[in-house]
Amino acid sequence: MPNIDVSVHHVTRVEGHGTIRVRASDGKIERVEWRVPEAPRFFEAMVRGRSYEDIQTIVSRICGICSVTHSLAAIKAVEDAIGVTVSKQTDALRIVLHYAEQIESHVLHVGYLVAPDLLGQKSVVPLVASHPDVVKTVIALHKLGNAGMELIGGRMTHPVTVKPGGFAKLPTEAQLKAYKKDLENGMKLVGILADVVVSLADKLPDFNRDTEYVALKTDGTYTFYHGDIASTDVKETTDVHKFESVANEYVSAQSTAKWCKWHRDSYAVGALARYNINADLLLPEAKAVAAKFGLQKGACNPYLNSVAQVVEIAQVIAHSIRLIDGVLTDGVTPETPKAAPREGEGVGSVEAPRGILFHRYAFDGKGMCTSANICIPTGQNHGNIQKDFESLVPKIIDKPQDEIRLLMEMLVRAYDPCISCSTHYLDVEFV
Amino acid sequence: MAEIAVVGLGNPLAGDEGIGGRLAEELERRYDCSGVEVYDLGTSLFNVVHVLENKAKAVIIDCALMGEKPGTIIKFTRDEARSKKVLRHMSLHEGDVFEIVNVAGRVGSGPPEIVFFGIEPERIELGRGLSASLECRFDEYLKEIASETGLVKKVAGDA
Repeated sequence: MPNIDVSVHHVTRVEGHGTIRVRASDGKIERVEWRVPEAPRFFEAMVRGRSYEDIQTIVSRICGICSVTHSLAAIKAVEDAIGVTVSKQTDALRIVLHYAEQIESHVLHVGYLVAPDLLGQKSVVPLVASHPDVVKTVIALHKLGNAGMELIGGRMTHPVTVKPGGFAKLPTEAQLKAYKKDLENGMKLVGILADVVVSLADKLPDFNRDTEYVALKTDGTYTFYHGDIASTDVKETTDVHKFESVANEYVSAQSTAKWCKWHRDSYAVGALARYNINADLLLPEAKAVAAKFGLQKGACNPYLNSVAQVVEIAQVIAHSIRLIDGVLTDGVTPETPKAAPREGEGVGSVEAPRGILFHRYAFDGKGMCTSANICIPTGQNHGNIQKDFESLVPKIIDKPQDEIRLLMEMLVRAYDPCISCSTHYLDVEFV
Repeated sequence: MAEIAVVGLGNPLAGDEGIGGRLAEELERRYDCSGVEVYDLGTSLFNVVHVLENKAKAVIIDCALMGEKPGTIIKFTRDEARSKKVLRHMSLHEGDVFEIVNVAGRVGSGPPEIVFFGIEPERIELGRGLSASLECRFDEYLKEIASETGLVKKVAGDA
Protein backbone atom coordinates (compact mmCIF):
# COMPACT_ATOMS: atom_id res chain seq x y z
CA MET A 1 0.00 0.00 0.00
CA PRO A 2 1.28 3.45 -0.82
CA ASN A 3 2.67 6.10 1.47
CA ILE A 4 1.01 9.40 0.60
CA ASP A 5 2.17 12.85 1.61
CA VAL A 6 0.18 15.59 -0.08
CA SER A 7 0.91 19.07 1.18
CA VAL A 8 -0.47 21.91 -0.90
CA HIS A 9 0.45 25.20 0.66
CA HIS A 10 -1.96 27.67 -0.89
CA VAL A 11 -4.27 26.01 -3.38
CA THR A 12 -4.00 27.73 -6.74
CA ARG A 13 -6.75 29.48 -8.70
CA VAL A 14 -8.82 30.32 -5.65
CA GLU A 15 -9.07 33.72 -4.03
CA GLY A 16 -6.95 33.62 -0.92
CA HIS A 17 -4.87 31.08 0.91
CA GLY A 18 -6.02 27.59 1.80
CA THR A 19 -3.86 24.59 2.53
CA ILE A 20 -4.44 20.89 1.91
CA ARG A 21 -2.70 18.25 4.01
CA VAL A 22 -3.03 14.50 3.49
CA ARG A 23 -0.79 11.87 5.00
CA ALA A 24 -1.15 8.11 4.66
CA SER A 25 1.26 5.42 5.72
CA ASP A 26 1.06 1.97 4.14
CA GLY A 27 -2.40 2.87 2.82
CA LYS A 28 -3.67 3.90 6.24
CA ILE A 29 -4.90 7.49 6.29
CA GLU A 30 -3.39 9.38 9.21
CA ARG A 31 -4.37 12.94 8.43
CA VAL A 32 -6.76 14.76 6.07
CA GLU A 33 -7.06 18.49 6.60
CA TRP A 34 -8.37 21.62 4.93
CA ARG A 35 -6.70 24.59 6.61
CA VAL A 36 -7.22 28.31 6.21
CA PRO A 37 -4.22 30.32 7.41
CA GLU A 38 -5.47 33.80 6.40
CA ALA A 39 -5.09 36.69 8.81
CA PRO A 40 -8.31 38.28 10.10
CA ARG A 41 -9.54 41.37 8.20
CA PHE A 42 -11.22 43.25 11.10
CA PHE A 43 -14.01 44.77 8.99
CA GLU A 44 -16.49 44.28 11.82
CA ALA A 45 -14.28 46.48 14.02
CA MET A 46 -13.55 48.91 11.19
CA VAL A 47 -17.19 49.94 10.73
CA ARG A 48 -17.82 50.65 14.42
CA GLY A 49 -18.16 54.40 14.94
CA ARG A 50 -18.90 54.98 11.23
CA SER A 51 -22.12 56.50 9.88
CA TYR A 52 -24.99 54.34 8.61
CA GLU A 53 -24.48 56.12 5.26
CA ASP A 54 -20.93 54.79 4.83
CA ILE A 55 -21.25 51.13 5.84
CA GLN A 56 -21.94 49.71 2.38
CA THR A 57 -18.98 51.60 0.90
CA ILE A 58 -16.57 50.32 3.54
CA VAL A 59 -17.66 46.68 3.51
CA SER A 60 -17.72 46.48 -0.28
CA ARG A 61 -13.93 46.43 0.09
CA ILE A 62 -14.11 43.03 1.74
CA CYS A 63 -13.89 41.59 -1.75
CA GLY A 64 -13.12 42.77 -5.28
CA ILE A 65 -15.18 40.00 -6.82
CA CYS A 66 -18.30 40.19 -4.67
CA SER A 67 -18.18 43.89 -3.76
CA VAL A 68 -21.75 44.46 -4.99
CA THR A 69 -22.99 41.57 -2.89
CA HIS A 70 -21.41 42.94 0.29
CA SER A 71 -22.76 46.43 -0.49
CA LEU A 72 -26.27 45.09 -0.96
CA ALA A 73 -26.26 42.91 2.15
CA ALA A 74 -25.03 45.93 4.12
CA ILE A 75 -27.58 48.33 2.66
CA LYS A 76 -30.40 45.91 3.39
CA ALA A 77 -29.20 45.58 6.98
CA VAL A 78 -28.85 49.35 7.38
CA GLU A 79 -32.34 49.98 5.98
CA ASP A 80 -33.71 47.26 8.23
CA ALA A 81 -32.09 48.96 11.23
CA ILE A 82 -33.28 52.49 10.49
CA GLY A 83 -36.72 51.45 9.23
CA VAL A 84 -36.48 52.41 5.54
CA THR A 85 -38.35 50.66 2.75
CA VAL A 86 -37.34 51.21 -0.85
CA SER A 87 -39.36 51.65 -4.04
CA LYS A 88 -40.18 48.85 -6.47
CA GLN A 89 -37.81 50.54 -8.95
CA THR A 90 -34.91 50.58 -6.48
CA ASP A 91 -35.55 46.96 -5.59
CA ALA A 92 -35.58 45.90 -9.26
CA LEU A 93 -32.43 47.84 -10.16
CA ARG A 94 -30.56 46.54 -7.13
CA ILE A 95 -31.39 43.00 -8.20
CA VAL A 96 -30.23 43.71 -11.78
CA LEU A 97 -27.00 45.11 -10.30
CA HIS A 98 -26.64 42.04 -8.11
CA TYR A 99 -27.20 39.78 -11.12
CA ALA A 100 -24.47 41.57 -13.06
CA GLU A 101 -22.06 40.54 -10.33
CA GLN A 102 -23.33 36.96 -10.43
CA ILE A 103 -22.59 36.88 -14.17
CA GLU A 104 -19.13 38.35 -13.71
CA SER A 105 -18.19 36.12 -10.79
CA HIS A 106 -19.60 32.87 -12.16
CA VAL A 107 -17.96 33.40 -15.55
CA LEU A 108 -14.70 34.20 -13.81
CA HIS A 109 -14.92 30.99 -11.82
CA VAL A 110 -16.08 28.63 -14.55
CA GLY A 111 -14.08 30.22 -17.37
CA TYR A 112 -10.86 31.33 -15.75
CA LEU A 113 -10.45 29.05 -12.74
CA VAL A 114 -12.19 25.73 -13.45
CA ALA A 115 -11.90 25.43 -17.25
CA PRO A 116 -8.10 25.03 -17.11
CA ASP A 117 -8.61 21.92 -14.92
CA LEU A 118 -11.03 20.43 -17.42
CA LEU A 119 -8.81 21.27 -20.38
CA GLY A 120 -5.59 20.13 -18.71
CA GLN A 121 -3.91 23.53 -18.45
CA LYS A 122 -2.39 25.47 -15.54
CA SER A 123 -4.28 28.68 -16.28
CA VAL A 124 -6.57 30.32 -18.80
CA VAL A 125 -3.67 31.88 -20.71
CA PRO A 126 -2.60 28.75 -22.64
CA LEU A 127 -6.26 28.16 -23.51
CA VAL A 128 -6.15 31.17 -25.81
CA ALA A 129 -4.01 29.17 -28.20
CA SER A 130 -5.83 25.86 -27.85
CA HIS A 131 -9.45 27.04 -27.40
CA PRO A 132 -9.69 30.65 -28.64
CA ASP A 133 -13.47 30.59 -29.13
CA VAL A 134 -14.02 29.42 -25.55
CA VAL A 135 -11.82 32.21 -24.22
CA LYS A 136 -13.58 34.79 -26.43
CA THR A 137 -16.95 33.67 -25.06
CA VAL A 138 -15.71 33.82 -21.48
CA ILE A 139 -14.22 37.29 -21.99
CA ALA A 140 -17.43 38.60 -23.61
CA LEU A 141 -19.61 37.30 -20.76
CA HIS A 142 -17.20 38.63 -18.16
CA LYS A 143 -17.37 42.02 -19.85
CA LEU A 144 -21.19 41.86 -19.83
CA GLY A 145 -21.22 41.46 -16.05
CA ASN A 146 -18.74 44.29 -15.61
CA ALA A 147 -20.83 46.54 -17.87
CA GLY A 148 -23.96 45.91 -15.79
CA MET A 149 -22.14 46.75 -12.57
CA GLU A 150 -20.68 49.91 -14.07
CA LEU A 151 -24.06 51.01 -15.44
CA ILE A 152 -26.07 50.62 -12.24
CA GLY A 153 -23.36 50.65 -9.56
CA GLY A 154 -21.35 53.48 -11.09
CA ARG A 155 -18.14 51.41 -11.15
CA MET A 156 -17.03 47.97 -12.33
CA THR A 157 -16.25 47.04 -8.73
CA HIS A 158 -17.06 48.64 -5.38
CA PRO A 159 -20.33 50.37 -6.35
CA VAL A 160 -20.73 54.04 -5.45
CA THR A 161 -24.41 54.61 -6.30
CA VAL A 162 -25.93 52.32 -3.66
CA LYS A 163 -27.26 54.49 -0.82
CA PRO A 164 -29.64 53.91 2.09
CA GLY A 165 -33.11 54.50 0.61
CA GLY A 166 -32.19 54.15 -3.06
CA PHE A 167 -29.60 55.16 -5.63
CA ALA A 168 -27.39 58.25 -5.84
CA LYS A 169 -27.63 58.02 -9.63
CA LEU A 170 -30.04 56.15 -11.86
CA PRO A 171 -29.38 54.71 -15.30
CA THR A 172 -31.32 56.30 -18.16
CA GLU A 173 -33.95 54.39 -20.10
CA ALA A 174 -31.66 54.45 -23.15
CA GLN A 175 -28.84 52.91 -21.11
CA LEU A 176 -31.13 50.22 -19.75
CA LYS A 177 -32.36 49.41 -23.25
CA ALA A 178 -28.77 49.10 -24.47
CA TYR A 179 -27.86 46.86 -21.52
CA LYS A 180 -30.93 44.71 -22.19
CA LYS A 181 -29.74 44.21 -25.75
CA ASP A 182 -26.31 43.20 -24.45
CA LEU A 183 -27.98 40.74 -22.07
CA GLU A 184 -29.94 39.21 -24.96
CA ASN A 185 -26.69 38.70 -26.84
CA GLY A 186 -25.18 37.33 -23.63
CA MET A 187 -27.88 34.69 -23.44
CA LYS A 188 -26.65 33.29 -26.76
CA LEU A 189 -23.11 33.18 -25.36
CA VAL A 190 -24.31 31.24 -22.31
CA GLY A 191 -25.55 28.58 -24.71
CA ILE A 192 -22.07 28.35 -26.23
CA LEU A 193 -20.42 28.23 -22.79
CA ALA A 194 -22.86 25.56 -21.63
CA ASP A 195 -22.13 23.42 -24.70
CA VAL A 196 -18.41 23.63 -23.97
CA VAL A 197 -18.86 22.70 -20.30
CA VAL A 198 -21.25 19.88 -21.26
CA SER A 199 -18.58 18.50 -23.58
CA LEU A 200 -16.13 18.47 -20.66
CA ALA A 201 -18.55 17.39 -17.93
CA ASP A 202 -17.26 13.82 -17.97
CA LYS A 203 -13.97 15.19 -16.63
CA LEU A 204 -15.72 16.29 -13.43
CA PRO A 205 -15.05 13.62 -10.79
CA ASP A 206 -17.95 11.37 -9.86
CA PHE A 207 -18.01 11.91 -6.11
CA ASN A 208 -21.23 12.14 -4.15
CA ARG A 209 -21.71 12.79 -0.45
CA ASP A 210 -25.09 13.34 1.13
CA THR A 211 -24.96 16.97 2.22
CA GLU A 212 -27.13 19.60 3.88
CA TYR A 213 -27.55 22.55 1.50
CA VAL A 214 -28.54 26.02 2.69
CA ALA A 215 -29.78 28.98 0.64
CA LEU A 216 -32.32 31.78 0.57
CA LYS A 217 -35.84 30.85 -0.48
CA THR A 218 -38.89 32.90 -1.39
CA ASP A 219 -42.17 32.32 -3.19
CA GLY A 220 -42.15 32.45 -6.97
CA THR A 221 -38.52 33.36 -7.65
CA TYR A 222 -35.20 31.57 -7.86
CA THR A 223 -33.91 34.11 -5.37
CA PHE A 224 -30.55 35.71 -4.79
CA TYR A 225 -31.86 38.76 -2.94
CA HIS A 226 -35.04 38.22 -0.92
CA GLY A 227 -36.38 35.48 1.29
CA ASP A 228 -35.76 33.38 4.36
CA ILE A 229 -33.12 30.75 5.08
CA ALA A 230 -33.92 27.27 3.79
CA SER A 231 -32.19 23.95 4.29
CA THR A 232 -32.53 20.71 2.34
CA ASP A 233 -32.76 18.99 5.74
CA VAL A 234 -35.96 20.66 6.98
CA LYS A 235 -39.22 21.93 5.49
CA GLU A 236 -39.65 25.13 7.50
CA THR A 237 -37.57 28.21 6.71
CA THR A 238 -35.81 30.49 9.20
CA ASP A 239 -36.05 34.27 9.30
CA VAL A 240 -32.74 35.89 8.31
CA HIS A 241 -32.80 37.81 11.60
CA LYS A 242 -31.99 34.51 13.27
CA PHE A 243 -29.01 33.71 11.05
CA GLU A 244 -26.69 33.15 14.01
CA SER A 245 -28.82 30.16 14.97
CA VAL A 246 -28.28 28.77 11.46
CA ALA A 247 -24.57 29.41 11.06
CA ASN A 248 -23.62 28.40 14.62
CA GLU A 249 -20.12 29.71 14.02
CA TYR A 250 -17.35 27.98 15.93
CA VAL A 251 -13.60 27.97 16.06
CA SER A 252 -11.56 25.15 14.58
CA ALA A 253 -7.93 24.60 15.58
CA GLN A 254 -6.92 24.04 11.95
CA SER A 255 -8.26 27.34 10.63
CA THR A 256 -8.10 31.07 11.30
CA ALA A 257 -11.57 31.33 9.71
CA LYS A 258 -14.64 30.37 11.73
CA TRP A 259 -16.52 27.25 10.68
CA CYS A 260 -20.28 26.67 10.62
CA LYS A 261 -22.78 23.87 11.12
CA TRP A 262 -26.56 23.62 11.37
CA HIS A 263 -28.43 20.31 11.38
CA ARG A 264 -25.30 18.21 10.76
CA ASP A 265 -21.55 18.54 11.24
CA SER A 266 -21.38 20.92 8.29
CA TYR A 267 -23.43 22.40 5.47
CA ALA A 268 -22.78 23.75 1.97
CA VAL A 269 -23.81 27.04 0.39
CA GLY A 270 -23.41 28.30 -3.17
CA ALA A 271 -24.83 27.67 -6.61
CA LEU A 272 -25.47 23.96 -6.04
CA ALA A 273 -27.20 24.73 -2.73
CA ARG A 274 -29.44 27.31 -4.42
CA TYR A 275 -30.17 24.85 -7.21
CA ASN A 276 -31.05 22.07 -4.80
CA ILE A 277 -33.46 24.35 -2.95
CA ASN A 278 -34.93 26.46 -5.76
CA ALA A 279 -34.48 24.57 -9.06
CA ASP A 280 -38.26 24.33 -9.58
CA LEU A 281 -38.35 28.13 -9.81
CA LEU A 282 -35.80 28.52 -12.60
CA LEU A 283 -36.92 30.42 -15.68
CA PRO A 284 -37.34 28.36 -18.87
CA GLU A 285 -34.05 29.64 -20.34
CA ALA A 286 -32.14 28.37 -17.29
CA LYS A 287 -34.10 25.10 -17.14
CA ALA A 288 -33.01 24.50 -20.74
CA VAL A 289 -29.36 24.87 -19.73
CA ALA A 290 -29.85 22.58 -16.72
CA ALA A 291 -31.42 20.02 -19.08
CA LYS A 292 -28.29 20.05 -21.25
CA PHE A 293 -26.34 18.82 -18.24
CA GLY A 294 -29.09 16.57 -16.93
CA LEU A 295 -28.61 18.39 -13.62
CA GLN A 296 -31.15 17.08 -11.13
CA LYS A 297 -32.42 18.68 -7.95
CA GLY A 298 -30.84 16.76 -5.10
CA ALA A 299 -27.43 16.47 -6.76
CA CYS A 300 -24.78 16.10 -4.07
CA ASN A 301 -21.57 16.02 -6.08
CA PRO A 302 -19.72 19.18 -5.00
CA TYR A 303 -17.83 19.29 -8.30
CA LEU A 304 -21.20 20.07 -9.95
CA ASN A 305 -21.22 23.50 -8.30
CA SER A 306 -19.57 24.85 -11.45
CA VAL A 307 -22.32 23.33 -13.59
CA ALA A 308 -24.96 24.94 -11.37
CA GLN A 309 -23.14 28.25 -11.86
CA VAL A 310 -23.53 27.95 -15.64
CA VAL A 311 -27.26 27.34 -15.15
CA GLU A 312 -27.41 30.39 -12.89
CA ILE A 313 -25.72 32.61 -15.48
CA ALA A 314 -28.65 31.83 -17.80
CA GLN A 315 -31.09 32.41 -14.93
CA VAL A 316 -29.79 35.84 -13.94
CA ILE A 317 -29.53 37.04 -17.53
CA ALA A 318 -33.11 35.93 -18.25
CA HIS A 319 -34.42 37.49 -15.04
CA SER A 320 -32.46 40.72 -15.60
CA ILE A 321 -34.15 41.12 -18.99
CA ARG A 322 -37.57 40.69 -17.38
CA LEU A 323 -36.78 43.14 -14.56
CA ILE A 324 -35.48 45.76 -17.00
CA ASP A 325 -38.64 45.32 -19.08
CA GLY A 326 -40.66 46.03 -15.93
CA VAL A 327 -38.67 49.18 -15.12
CA LEU A 328 -38.95 50.40 -18.72
CA THR A 329 -42.70 49.74 -18.81
CA ASP A 330 -43.17 51.94 -15.74
CA GLY A 331 -40.55 54.43 -16.94
CA VAL A 332 -37.43 55.32 -14.95
CA THR A 333 -38.71 57.57 -12.17
CA PRO A 334 -36.31 60.11 -10.63
CA GLU A 335 -36.01 59.40 -6.91
CA THR A 336 -34.04 60.96 -4.09
CA PRO A 337 -32.92 58.43 -1.50
CA LYS A 338 -34.58 59.22 1.80
CA ALA A 339 -33.07 57.89 5.00
CA ALA A 340 -32.48 59.31 8.45
CA PRO A 341 -30.56 57.99 11.45
CA ARG A 342 -32.41 56.03 14.09
CA GLU A 343 -31.31 53.79 16.90
CA GLY A 344 -31.82 50.20 15.91
CA GLU A 345 -30.43 46.92 14.72
CA GLY A 346 -30.90 45.23 11.36
CA VAL A 347 -29.97 42.20 9.29
CA GLY A 348 -29.41 41.91 5.56
CA SER A 349 -28.98 38.68 3.68
CA VAL A 350 -28.31 38.09 0.00
CA GLU A 351 -26.85 35.26 -2.00
CA ALA A 352 -23.23 36.00 -2.88
CA PRO A 353 -22.08 34.14 -6.01
CA ARG A 354 -20.49 31.60 -3.66
CA GLY A 355 -23.39 31.33 -1.22
CA ILE A 356 -25.61 32.89 1.37
CA LEU A 357 -24.21 35.98 3.11
CA PHE A 358 -25.35 37.64 6.33
CA HIS A 359 -24.67 41.15 7.67
CA ARG A 360 -25.93 42.49 11.02
CA TYR A 361 -25.38 46.04 12.29
CA ALA A 362 -26.57 48.10 15.27
CA PHE A 363 -26.69 51.91 15.29
CA ASP A 364 -27.08 54.56 17.97
CA GLY A 365 -29.52 57.49 17.72
CA LYS A 366 -27.05 59.48 15.61
CA GLY A 367 -26.74 56.65 13.10
CA MET A 368 -23.28 55.61 14.21
CA CYS A 369 -22.52 51.90 14.04
CA THR A 370 -22.10 50.32 17.45
CA SER A 371 -21.65 46.68 16.43
CA ALA A 372 -21.32 44.50 13.34
CA ASN A 373 -21.38 40.82 12.51
CA ILE A 374 -20.62 39.53 9.02
CA CYS A 375 -20.96 35.83 8.21
CA ILE A 376 -19.55 35.01 4.77
CA PRO A 377 -20.35 32.04 2.52
CA THR A 378 -16.79 30.78 2.21
CA GLY A 379 -16.63 30.57 6.00
CA GLN A 380 -19.84 28.54 5.96
CA ASN A 381 -18.30 26.13 3.44
CA HIS A 382 -15.01 25.39 5.22
CA GLY A 383 -16.44 22.67 7.44
CA ASN A 384 -18.10 21.05 4.46
CA ILE A 385 -14.87 21.02 2.45
CA GLN A 386 -13.25 19.20 5.38
CA LYS A 387 -16.09 16.64 5.49
CA ASP A 388 -15.86 16.17 1.72
CA PHE A 389 -12.13 15.57 2.06
CA GLU A 390 -12.72 12.95 4.76
CA SER A 391 -15.14 11.14 2.47
CA LEU A 392 -13.19 11.59 -0.76
CA VAL A 393 -9.69 10.66 0.31
CA PRO A 394 -10.42 7.00 1.26
CA LYS A 395 -11.99 6.56 -2.19
CA ILE A 396 -8.94 7.89 -4.05
CA ILE A 397 -6.10 6.89 -1.74
CA ASP A 398 -4.88 4.22 -4.19
CA LYS A 399 -4.42 6.76 -6.97
CA PRO A 400 -1.03 8.34 -7.72
CA GLN A 401 -0.13 11.15 -5.34
CA ASP A 402 -0.31 13.86 -8.03
CA GLU A 403 -3.80 12.76 -9.01
CA ILE A 404 -4.91 12.85 -5.36
CA ARG A 405 -3.53 16.36 -5.11
CA LEU A 406 -5.31 17.49 -8.28
CA LEU A 407 -8.67 15.97 -7.27
CA MET A 408 -8.47 17.69 -3.89
CA GLU A 409 -7.49 21.02 -5.41
CA MET A 410 -10.35 20.72 -7.89
CA LEU A 411 -12.73 20.02 -5.02
CA VAL A 412 -11.65 23.17 -3.20
CA ARG A 413 -11.91 25.18 -6.42
CA ALA A 414 -15.42 23.81 -7.03
CA TYR A 415 -16.57 25.66 -3.91
CA ASP A 416 -15.27 28.88 -5.49
CA PRO A 417 -13.74 30.00 -2.20
CA CYS A 418 -12.86 33.64 -1.91
CA ILE A 419 -10.43 34.33 0.87
CA SER A 420 -8.15 37.38 0.24
CA CYS A 421 -5.96 39.50 -2.11
CA SER A 422 -2.32 40.12 -3.12
CA THR A 423 0.12 41.79 -5.56
CA HIS A 424 0.97 41.39 -9.22
CA TYR A 425 4.02 43.52 -10.25
CA LEU A 426 5.99 42.94 -13.47
CA ASP A 427 9.39 41.24 -13.40
CA VAL A 428 11.26 41.83 -16.67
CA GLU A 429 14.60 41.72 -18.40
CA PHE A 430 15.33 43.68 -21.54
CA VAL A 431 16.20 41.91 -24.78
CA MET B 1 -14.91 56.08 -27.86
CA ALA B 2 -11.39 57.34 -27.26
CA GLU B 3 -8.65 55.79 -29.35
CA ILE B 4 -6.02 55.78 -26.60
CA ALA B 5 -6.25 53.91 -23.31
CA VAL B 6 -3.98 54.73 -20.39
CA VAL B 7 -4.03 51.86 -17.92
CA GLY B 8 -2.59 52.09 -14.42
CA LEU B 9 -2.02 48.81 -12.60
CA GLY B 10 -1.05 47.95 -9.06
CA ASN B 11 -2.12 47.33 -5.51
CA PRO B 12 -2.29 50.61 -3.56
CA LEU B 13 -1.98 48.66 -0.32
CA ALA B 14 1.44 47.29 -1.26
CA GLY B 15 3.65 50.38 -1.27
CA ASP B 16 5.38 51.11 -4.59
CA GLU B 17 3.38 48.31 -6.20
CA GLY B 18 0.51 50.80 -6.42
CA ILE B 19 2.39 53.33 -8.56
CA GLY B 20 0.38 52.59 -11.73
CA GLY B 21 -2.97 53.38 -10.16
CA ARG B 22 -1.64 56.50 -8.42
CA LEU B 23 -0.32 57.84 -11.71
CA ALA B 24 -3.58 57.12 -13.54
CA GLU B 25 -5.51 58.92 -10.82
CA GLU B 26 -3.24 61.98 -10.82
CA LEU B 27 -3.09 62.11 -14.61
CA GLU B 28 -6.87 62.51 -14.72
CA ARG B 29 -6.79 65.08 -11.95
CA ARG B 30 -4.06 67.28 -13.36
CA TYR B 31 -4.33 66.82 -17.14
CA ASP B 32 -7.05 67.37 -19.70
CA CYS B 33 -7.80 63.77 -20.63
CA SER B 34 -10.46 64.37 -23.25
CA GLY B 35 -9.80 62.00 -26.11
CA VAL B 36 -8.04 59.52 -23.82
CA GLU B 37 -9.59 56.92 -21.55
CA VAL B 38 -7.72 56.56 -18.27
CA TYR B 39 -8.21 53.45 -16.15
CA ASP B 40 -7.00 52.58 -12.69
CA LEU B 41 -7.54 48.82 -12.84
CA GLY B 42 -5.86 48.06 -9.54
CA THR B 43 -5.09 44.34 -9.50
CA SER B 44 -7.92 43.38 -11.89
CA LEU B 45 -5.58 42.19 -14.59
CA PHE B 46 -8.18 40.37 -16.66
CA ASN B 47 -10.07 43.63 -17.12
CA VAL B 48 -7.10 44.85 -19.17
CA VAL B 49 -8.46 42.74 -22.02
CA HIS B 50 -11.78 44.61 -21.90
CA VAL B 51 -10.38 48.13 -21.84
CA LEU B 52 -7.95 47.52 -24.70
CA GLU B 53 -10.77 46.55 -27.04
CA ASN B 54 -11.20 48.86 -30.06
CA LYS B 55 -8.28 51.06 -29.08
CA ALA B 56 -5.55 52.24 -31.48
CA LYS B 57 -2.99 52.62 -28.71
CA ALA B 58 -2.55 51.60 -25.10
CA VAL B 59 -0.17 52.97 -22.50
CA ILE B 60 0.27 50.60 -19.58
CA ILE B 61 1.86 51.87 -16.38
CA ASP B 62 3.10 49.39 -13.81
CA CYS B 63 5.66 48.79 -11.14
CA ALA B 64 8.45 46.69 -12.71
CA LEU B 65 11.46 44.86 -11.33
CA MET B 66 14.02 45.78 -13.98
CA GLY B 67 17.27 45.69 -12.01
CA GLU B 68 17.49 49.47 -12.12
CA LYS B 69 17.92 52.11 -9.41
CA PRO B 70 14.67 52.56 -7.45
CA GLY B 71 12.55 55.27 -9.01
CA THR B 72 13.86 54.70 -12.55
CA ILE B 73 11.19 54.92 -15.24
CA ILE B 74 11.69 53.09 -18.52
CA LYS B 75 9.48 53.14 -21.57
CA PHE B 76 9.44 49.93 -23.58
CA THR B 77 7.37 47.89 -25.97
CA ARG B 78 6.36 44.27 -25.65
CA ASP B 79 9.16 43.24 -28.02
CA GLU B 80 11.84 44.99 -26.01
CA ALA B 81 11.38 43.06 -22.77
CA ARG B 82 10.84 39.51 -21.64
CA SER B 83 8.98 38.52 -18.50
CA LYS B 84 10.97 36.66 -15.87
CA LYS B 85 7.96 36.28 -13.63
CA VAL B 86 7.19 32.79 -12.41
CA LEU B 87 3.46 32.48 -11.88
CA ARG B 88 2.09 30.17 -9.25
CA HIS B 89 -1.47 30.75 -10.50
CA MET B 90 -2.50 31.38 -6.94
CA SER B 91 -5.32 33.79 -7.58
CA LEU B 92 -6.91 36.17 -10.04
CA HIS B 93 -4.86 38.97 -8.56
CA GLU B 94 -1.62 37.29 -9.43
CA GLY B 95 -0.71 37.66 -13.03
CA ASP B 96 1.64 38.81 -15.69
CA VAL B 97 0.45 41.77 -17.71
CA PHE B 98 2.53 40.59 -20.68
CA GLU B 99 0.48 37.39 -20.78
CA ILE B 100 -2.76 39.33 -20.52
CA VAL B 101 -1.71 41.59 -23.38
CA ASN B 102 -0.94 38.46 -25.40
CA VAL B 103 -4.41 37.14 -24.59
CA ALA B 104 -5.93 40.43 -25.76
CA GLY B 105 -3.97 40.21 -29.00
CA ARG B 106 -4.99 36.63 -29.67
CA VAL B 107 -8.69 37.28 -29.14
CA GLY B 108 -8.55 40.36 -31.36
CA SER B 109 -8.80 42.95 -28.58
CA GLY B 110 -5.20 44.16 -28.60
CA PRO B 111 -4.41 47.63 -29.98
CA PRO B 112 -1.75 47.78 -32.68
CA GLU B 113 0.45 49.98 -30.50
CA ILE B 114 1.16 49.19 -26.85
CA VAL B 115 3.67 51.10 -24.78
CA PHE B 116 4.71 50.17 -21.25
CA PHE B 117 6.08 52.46 -18.59
CA GLY B 118 7.88 50.41 -15.96
CA ILE B 119 8.86 52.04 -12.69
CA GLU B 120 11.48 50.37 -10.50
CA PRO B 121 10.22 50.07 -6.91
CA GLU B 122 12.15 50.72 -3.74
CA ARG B 123 9.85 48.65 -1.57
CA ILE B 124 6.92 46.30 -2.15
CA GLU B 125 5.36 45.57 1.20
CA LEU B 126 2.04 45.96 2.94
CA GLY B 127 1.20 49.60 3.53
CA ARG B 128 -0.09 52.66 1.73
CA GLY B 129 2.02 55.34 0.10
CA LEU B 130 5.06 55.44 -2.16
CA SER B 131 8.69 55.35 -1.10
CA ALA B 132 10.75 58.56 -1.27
CA SER B 133 12.54 57.31 -4.41
CA LEU B 134 9.27 57.29 -6.36
CA GLU B 135 7.50 60.15 -4.63
CA CYS B 136 10.24 62.65 -5.49
CA ARG B 137 10.03 61.76 -9.19
CA PHE B 138 6.25 61.54 -9.38
CA ASP B 139 5.78 64.73 -11.46
CA GLU B 140 8.44 63.57 -13.88
CA TYR B 141 6.53 60.31 -14.44
CA LEU B 142 3.35 62.22 -15.13
CA LYS B 143 5.10 64.44 -17.67
CA GLU B 144 6.53 61.43 -19.53
CA ILE B 145 3.16 59.70 -19.72
CA ALA B 146 1.39 62.91 -20.74
CA SER B 147 3.96 63.49 -23.43
CA GLU B 148 3.48 59.96 -24.75
CA THR B 149 -0.27 60.50 -25.01
CA GLY B 150 -0.28 64.17 -26.06
CA LEU B 151 -2.04 65.37 -22.91
CA VAL B 152 -1.76 68.93 -21.66
CA LYS B 153 -2.17 70.19 -18.11
CA LYS B 154 -5.52 71.55 -17.07
CA VAL B 155 -5.57 75.31 -16.77
CA ALA B 156 -5.48 76.66 -13.22
CA GLY B 157 -8.81 76.31 -11.49
CA ASP B 158 -9.91 73.29 -13.51
CA ALA B 159 -8.17 70.78 -11.31
